[in-house]
Amino acid sequence: MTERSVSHGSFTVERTYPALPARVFAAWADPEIKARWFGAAGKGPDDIFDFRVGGREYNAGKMGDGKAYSFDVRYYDIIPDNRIVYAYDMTMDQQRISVSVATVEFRPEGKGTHMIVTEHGAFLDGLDSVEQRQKGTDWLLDRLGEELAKP
Amino acid sequence: MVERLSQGPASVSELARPLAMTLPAVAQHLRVLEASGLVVTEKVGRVRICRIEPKMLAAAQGWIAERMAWERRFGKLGELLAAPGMDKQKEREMTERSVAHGVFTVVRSYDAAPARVFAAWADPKIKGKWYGDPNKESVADVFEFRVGGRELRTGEVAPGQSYSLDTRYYDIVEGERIVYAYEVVINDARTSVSVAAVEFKPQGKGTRLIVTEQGTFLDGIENPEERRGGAEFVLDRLGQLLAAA
Repeated sequence: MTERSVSHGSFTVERTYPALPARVFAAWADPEIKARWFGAAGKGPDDIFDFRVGGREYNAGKMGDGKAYSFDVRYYDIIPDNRIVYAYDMTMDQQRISVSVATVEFRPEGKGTHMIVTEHGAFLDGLDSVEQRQKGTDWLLDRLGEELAKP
Repeated sequence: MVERLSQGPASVSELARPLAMTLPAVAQHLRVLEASGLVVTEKVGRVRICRIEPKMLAAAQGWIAERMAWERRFGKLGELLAAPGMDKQKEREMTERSVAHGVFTVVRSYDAAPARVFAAWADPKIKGKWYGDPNKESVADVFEFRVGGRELRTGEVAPGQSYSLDTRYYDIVEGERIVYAYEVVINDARTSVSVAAVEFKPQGKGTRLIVTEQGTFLDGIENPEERRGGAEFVLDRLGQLLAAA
């Protein structure tokens, strides 16, 4: 039987990308571009992409560690080329592991973009932690960097 | 001036005497009070006598008390309770974009058992008595207490000032915990998006309730520090409700 617990934590991860805010924002807003750096590879049968205030995004599949993850997003606030605020939960092998609110800010910096991701999370039953979320986000933002480095 | 008039009628010069203002300035203030209907003036001989209109004072006192209750519930609403007539679109464009973050934990001990405290969150009829509108029983527009369900409460903070409290339930463990995300929108401006966890822990024959909220506050509309006050306010109301039954 699961030992019930909730832990809480926040983190901030930042990157400066050599691309204009509009291009970095598009990497989040355009489903084809997002699929190149985010989440499980390939399109799952239940995947949803509805990038608008009140819209939902769902992405599920196996990750590098062999475990099945799902990522269920609800968009609360979208200001084009400026910010995105969303809530999401994650499951791992069908168990809910965390519920979070994320904010992504896009700030022009010279010819590039200073992007700031801040997350607040509730981590459930010892299955996830703020450290793991931060590591996972760091990894994703590196993948976004690789995508943006392409011409 | 209103305070002095609430003690009894006075002439314009009697009103002006204790104030560091010229007579014309006092007269200007009086014109505003007259226009609002709160004060009535009457020329008696050569003297202008001012008095409070009792019906308007009662209405103003009622509105002020309601507004104060809302400020306890939501914290200071700042520029949002702007002068009526300001164009909403212009307000949004003028607002400088910013993001602030705030986290708090509020703990309460109740004599009621966890199942009973949990029911106060799960049952729409009970929840409306302590949550939402601080001045009257709140009826949710939508109430789906289940994982993936939505709870929506809308209303007015003050005449012409609308609010929306929109919640989505992510995790529910019966009698033990609720985890949800919610946004607050006031006058069509989104002020915050938060994740909240409520834990119901047995404590003797009663319950230790732990509410933790982590929020993102948008465009400087609400002060993150004041959200804690709102949570303390509703949890005290919950305590009163549990103690009364």
